[in-house]
Formats: sequence, C-alpha cells, structure tokens
Amino acid sequence: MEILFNGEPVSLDVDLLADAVAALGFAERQVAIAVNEAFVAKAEWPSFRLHAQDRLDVLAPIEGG
Amino acid sequence: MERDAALNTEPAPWQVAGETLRSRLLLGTARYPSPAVMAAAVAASGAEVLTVALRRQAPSQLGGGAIWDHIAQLGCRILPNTAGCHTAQEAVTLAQMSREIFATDWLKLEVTGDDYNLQPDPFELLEAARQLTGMDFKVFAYATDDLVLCSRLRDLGCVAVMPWGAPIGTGKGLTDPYALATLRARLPDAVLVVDAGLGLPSHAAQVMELGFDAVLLNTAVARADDPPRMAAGFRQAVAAGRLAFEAGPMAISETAQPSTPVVGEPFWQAEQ
Repeated sequence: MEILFNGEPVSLDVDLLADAVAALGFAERQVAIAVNEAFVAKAEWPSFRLHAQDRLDVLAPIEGG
Repeated sequence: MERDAALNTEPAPWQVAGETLRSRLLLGTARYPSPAVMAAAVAASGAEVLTVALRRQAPSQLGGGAIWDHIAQLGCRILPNTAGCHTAQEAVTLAQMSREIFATDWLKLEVTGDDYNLQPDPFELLEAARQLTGMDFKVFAYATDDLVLCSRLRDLGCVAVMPWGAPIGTGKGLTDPYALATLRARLPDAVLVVDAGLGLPSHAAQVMELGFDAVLLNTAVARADDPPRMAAGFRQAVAAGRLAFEAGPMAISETAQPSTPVVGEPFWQAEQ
C-alpha cells in the first residue's frame, strides 16, 4: 500500500497505523501523528486502519519562537 | 534603614492560565548558535516559560531528538506554538498533536495570513481560538494590534492576547505605540503580552511601561552577538518597565518646571 509520509510517497506492507509507525522507524520515538490532516491520538494507533494514499504526518518537538 | 526595608524593588508577580509567574519575560528557543548558548540565555533571562514547536521529522532525526531533551531539562513551563499554520483546521490539528507530545493545555496560537510579514489571519485566528477554547486549551493568541480582533479573542476566553510590536523577527520595536496603549486602556482586565518585533531591551521597557503584563521574544536574544548578555539586558528592562508602571509615572508638562525649590532663592534670581 502506498501512502504519503511527510509529503513523500512510501510503500508499506501494513494496515494499522501502529505497524506503520514501527515500519517507519518511529516506534520508540516521541512523535505525534495526523492522518489526512486530522489528529490521531497515540492510544488509537493500534486500531487505526490506514488506506492507500492516506497522508501521514509524523511530527516531533523542536525549538520554536 | 527604614527606607530600604520599605522599598520593594521586585515587580509584582502576575497570573496567567491559573498560574502565578514571577518573570514577565517569555522566551523562544529558536535561532540560537547552539543549545548550550540557548540554555545560558534562558538562565540569564530568568524566563519561566519557553516556546517550542512541532515539525515533520525523518526517523534519522531521532524523533525530535537532542534539542527537545535540552529544552525539557531547563525546568521551564512549555508553551507550544502553531507557527506555520495558515488555517484554523491546521492550527487545531497541530494543537492536538502538541497537547499529546508536550502534555500541556497551553498553546501559543499562530495562524498566518500573509507570508511576507507573517501577519496573523484575523478570521482564521478567531475560528481557531473558538474551537480550541471549546476543547479546553489555554490559548495564548498571537494577533495584530487591532483592538476589535483582540477584544474578540478576549471574549472567546483566550487566557492571553498577544499583539505584535512589529512583524516577527524584525527587531523594529513598537511600530504603533498608540494602538498598544489603546489596547491596554480598552482591555484593562485582559492578560496582554506583546509578542514579536522587539529588538532592544528599551523596546521591552516601553511595552512594560504601557502596562502590558509581559513580553515574549526570541530573535532579539538569539541573534544577539552575546545572547546570554542580551537576555540579562531584557530581564532588567522588563523589570524596570514594570516597576515604572507600578510606580505611576509623573504627569508630562509642556513647559519647564524647576526641580529645585524657588522659595529662598539667592539675590541674583530675586532681582529678575
């Protein structure tokens, strides 16, 4: 299944968001996620089902003004 | 001496979002030469509140990594921003993500309407504030100095309204002191913080002399040749300006008023 990860197309062999997070290397990282520009709480990742062409944004803390 | 015992040289604490803070200087964490310099500047500033952000990350960037760990260790309250958002929906989504990551309801709400001067979009800003206050966020709304916009943000329940002094990162100081003075006069009970556009400690002192509750800045400290020293300068200026406001300035006179008593003047003045 192809999705857009932070704006870039990637192919993943998973259906659930939690599995996608792990496949992308963020399993142990402090990140927050939006799918199709809607927030998905971490507690929902294990049951949240992805679909082809979903837009996945993975954000992490940085410095800010 | 009795005089010294009675003199309180510290500005009064202030309250925002149910918290009591001693420092009236809120500081950004971006654009410093290094994390170590940022930490030194934070310490010198005395700031108790630091702004942070969220951005897209690649796995190789360690999911936020070292810089956030560094900020978290400074022991300050965190105020996440929504910088870069252009619509209410973007801001609401980013706010929810921030609340989960940073474990705080505090939010510096930014919704940009014009990328040239990073001017807030008043319409999207109001809609975002309406939604976010309804979701129990403690909204610090970054706005222009428009009186009606700031009034509406206050009415929506924003815990602080934060008009700009000038566009972000310009260092120009207060481009419209009259507008800011009007805001203070018309919204006497609102928490008002000037956010953005300051370049010098004197600008911060001017803000505080107008009666604003606090100042939020970043670039003026981060891009100084010596950020910790500039942070110390801002710390003192904010305190000086606030003390002046609390002390109550003298009335301005159009004509000279002798400061030395005129009674008992020597003969040479008496002959005139």
